[in-house]
Amino acid sequence: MRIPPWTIVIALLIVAGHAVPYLLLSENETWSGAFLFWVVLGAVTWVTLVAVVMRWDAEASRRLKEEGR
Amino acid sequence: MSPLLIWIAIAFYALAGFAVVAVARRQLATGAEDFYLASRTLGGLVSAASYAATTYSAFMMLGLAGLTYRGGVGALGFELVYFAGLSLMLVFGPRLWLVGRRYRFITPSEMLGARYDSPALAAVTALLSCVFLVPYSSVQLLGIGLLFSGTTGGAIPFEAGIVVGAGLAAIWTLGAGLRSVAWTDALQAVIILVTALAALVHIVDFLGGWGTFLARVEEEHGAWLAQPGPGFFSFATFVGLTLPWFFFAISNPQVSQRLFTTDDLGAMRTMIIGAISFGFLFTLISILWGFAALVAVPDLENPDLATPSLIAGAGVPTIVAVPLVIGILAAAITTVDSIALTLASMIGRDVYPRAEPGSNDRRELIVGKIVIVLVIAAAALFASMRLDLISLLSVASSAALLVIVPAFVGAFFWRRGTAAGALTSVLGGTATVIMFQFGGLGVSGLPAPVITFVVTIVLFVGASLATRPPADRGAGFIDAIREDLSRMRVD
Repeated sequence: MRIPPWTIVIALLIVAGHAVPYLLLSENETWSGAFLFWVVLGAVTWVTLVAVVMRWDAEASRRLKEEGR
Repeated sequence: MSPLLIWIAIAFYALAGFAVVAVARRQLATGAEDFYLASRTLGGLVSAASYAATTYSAFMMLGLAGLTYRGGVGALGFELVYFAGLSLMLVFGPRLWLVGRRYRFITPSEMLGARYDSPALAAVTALLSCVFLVPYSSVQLLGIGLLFSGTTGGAIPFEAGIVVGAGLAAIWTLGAGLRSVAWTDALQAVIILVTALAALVHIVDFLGGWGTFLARVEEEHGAWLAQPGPGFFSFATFVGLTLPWFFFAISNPQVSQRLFTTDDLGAMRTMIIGAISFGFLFTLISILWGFAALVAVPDLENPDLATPSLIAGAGVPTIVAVPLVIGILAAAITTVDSIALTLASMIGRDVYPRAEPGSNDRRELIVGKIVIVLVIAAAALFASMRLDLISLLSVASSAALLVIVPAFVGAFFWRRGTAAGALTSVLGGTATVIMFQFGGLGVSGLPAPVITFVVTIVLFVGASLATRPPADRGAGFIDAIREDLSRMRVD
């Protein structure tokens, strides 16, 4: 079974979302620390997900419906 | 805040909802598939707004804001890990859409029962979902009660808020099933986002503008901007919160069932983009609102009262405060009505036919409507008991629903999974949740959801390997849709 590359990106983002604020930003008591990091992480997640669904072929799903599948 | 103004606003809000329900009823056809899934014809925009309103509940402006107030920026990290978990929709959405149409599934538990050739599994997951989701619904109603009484200084009693929330949720669910739920959700999603954004802009302005607000947080509450912050978000607590919420999109049937409902993959794409856009924006608003409460009304004993206290005591003008209260009411109701509808479908389809062999679509639908009333009444009763801390109760419910995840994933990705494996993991996982999440047992400081998740995976794999696989080894779910997924260019 092939693992889609975008799932690896999401997995890395989740690991980073747990590790970086606790290991690298724990002393940073400003908005440019964990807050900014997590906002950027959320934005990258949003872009990744949108990019994946934009590749979907919606027309094919309509054809499948017409074929009764 | 004047209770009369709140009541007038509720009246307008309810009238708008009734009007939407009346229109939805005109399109209502007969049969369970139409009542619970709107005949699988929902368009993208309605689906997006409804999914967003269902998944982003009153927890956001009450619980998450309170969590920020209590523990700082870790609340943002926790919520954004949940946000990343919405990626599961990309994996399972098209698969559920395909098998849902192919086999006419109405509920996620019905799908699991068919995949593992086990009606008992369907019934067990349906019943467990009831047990776990009624408290989650009650947390929404509890939030409404606290909000109304908190913002009016008790002039609107706590119980009145619960009755209003429960009553509107029941009417909007019974009105036309998913059509009335989804359409009122769509209306309410707009109310939720606009009122929350307007309130945030106002409160930041009240605190001296964005520059002053951000500077005051750094100067007065700098520890809240780092991890683990003031102490609440230890790493174990953080993981204990993020793990169950990451899987929310497939563990919670009120949202996974929505993946059966879209008209086509284009509508599902719009639903996903809309839901994640709403989610990202609403998360930031709720977190900043929590920080604003920290600056404006510091030193509260109960963090769950951060939002009511901010509305009532920080100079928020009536024109902003009243719509915000209605927005939070809407956020709670959209979650309660969706949960009630989904649980009704699960009991009606997956439990009742086992108790009453020979039942038909019409009778299952009648049972389902009775279940809607019972679920909402039970949630209201539970809420009236005023259990502590909204956020932690919500998370406890999600932790409990983690037990469904291995069987759900195995349905599409592991041929060797068996009914015995699925049943053992669900039941064994439930026992683990009761012991560790609710019973207070611990293992080397590991969070209860982590222990539960490991146990369910081990039980699912172990019991599956020890038993005979289904005759088709999942071919109807894995091989049969492979070509269709490929045609739709889905990974």
